[in-house]
Amino acid sequence: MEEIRYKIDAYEGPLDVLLTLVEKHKMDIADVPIDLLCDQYLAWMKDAEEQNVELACEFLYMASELMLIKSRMLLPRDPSKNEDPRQPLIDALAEYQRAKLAAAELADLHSLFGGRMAKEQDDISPDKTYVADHDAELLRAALHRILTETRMTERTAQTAFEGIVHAPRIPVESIMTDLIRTLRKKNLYLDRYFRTSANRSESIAKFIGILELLKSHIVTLEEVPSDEGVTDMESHIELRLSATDEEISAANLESGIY
Amino acid sequence: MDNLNFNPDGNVLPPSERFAVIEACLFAAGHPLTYARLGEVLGIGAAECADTVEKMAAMYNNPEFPRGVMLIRFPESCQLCTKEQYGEEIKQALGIRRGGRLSASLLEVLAVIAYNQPVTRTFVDTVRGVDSAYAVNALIEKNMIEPCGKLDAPGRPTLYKTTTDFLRVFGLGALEELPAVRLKTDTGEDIEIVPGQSFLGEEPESEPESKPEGESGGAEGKTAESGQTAE
Repeated sequence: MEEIRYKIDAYEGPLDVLLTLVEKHKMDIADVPIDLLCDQYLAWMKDAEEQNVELACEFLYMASELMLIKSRMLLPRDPSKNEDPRQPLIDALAEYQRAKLAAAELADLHSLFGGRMAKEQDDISPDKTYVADHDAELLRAALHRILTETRMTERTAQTAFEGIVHAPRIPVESIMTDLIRTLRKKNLYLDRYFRTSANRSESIAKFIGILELLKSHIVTLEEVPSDEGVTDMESHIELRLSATDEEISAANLESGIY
Repeated sequence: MDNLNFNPDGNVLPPSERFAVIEACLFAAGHPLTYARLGEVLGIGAAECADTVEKMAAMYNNPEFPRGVMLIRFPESCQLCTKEQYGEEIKQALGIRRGGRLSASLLEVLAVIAYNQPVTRTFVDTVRGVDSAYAVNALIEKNMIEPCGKLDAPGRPTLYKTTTDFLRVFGLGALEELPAVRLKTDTGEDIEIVPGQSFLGEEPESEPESKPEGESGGAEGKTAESGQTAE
């Protein structure tokens, strides 16, 4: 019994155990002595359990299969059916034996040639620059649409001082900073974003800011279906943040956005 | 993707330049490139390209000028890879510890698939008598096997076959080169087991090799090949 490995990890499964027993007792697979095999297997199981090895259910199932075949062999066989109750087991053992032999062959090959290494493909990144032959007219028309469709509420304070104070210059950078801060909390619908502009300058600044942020891949625009409560349109264009904080500061926008 | 045609006039490059182009492309790719694709770039057909590559392969085996890299050829493609004898030095240079060993169970699963492909995971389970899901996934991750369609059976299970990476690390140029397995029976006879012949004969999917003495669904004991009267 010395050759029998008791370490359960050394066996790939019950067929592995059976094959070891077959080889040890020099049994002929084609005419396997089921009594002997069954007894030997059960003895092996008993030893394994005495060593406190927990056997997986496949091993227990095999035990019951063996006993079933053994009992069938004891019964008189039906002469009309030329079936050997051991046949499925014989087939399974033979097939598994073949697999083990093939695996041994492969192992030899692998030990010889396993050192052959190939390179990963070079990362030749495709140029993802958006190249489009758009007429500048399209941009102008889009801006025009925004400015005319946007319902702007002019704050009284500004109109009152219009003659005295210059129209406020809205720095695009601060618009972008604000937009990023807002988007960090939640996404914005594009049309609503423009509707909140106080005046035309602000709308223009927002428009340019969005273009700038799109170019740097810091925001994206997505079409989303309208959510509950909003009944005016079928779907909205939504502004979303699409860059991490590191990417944003790395993008080197002048105002130092954090 | 095929709009990038650097050879629109179909000009045929002289042999000396062909070798250089092939070598450059194979190096940049790392993975195997088909003769067809290389041929497109060179302005020649796949068969002619394969011939060129065959001649090229000898260049890497010149005993007077040993190379660390070799050109391996598969039925439809070729690849540059390092020679196995320099594996240790490479691992040292790259700081990789010893690795890449395949465990016994992985080898078993791989053997079942390699010699019977294409097969389902259930087929592997049946042959080994144990659940092989973990091993199959591990082999997929190591790119030794890949899915190749589905079996026309309930559940449409995935079929698996081996990859060109498998061929590479087992030193095979094609599946036909899988070693025949010799089995000595108790009566001392030699039985040879070759790829494609399954005792169970269960996989209804196309079997590349022809069967010796006819298939039946499993009740036929082909434990011994020709020459031994079994049952």
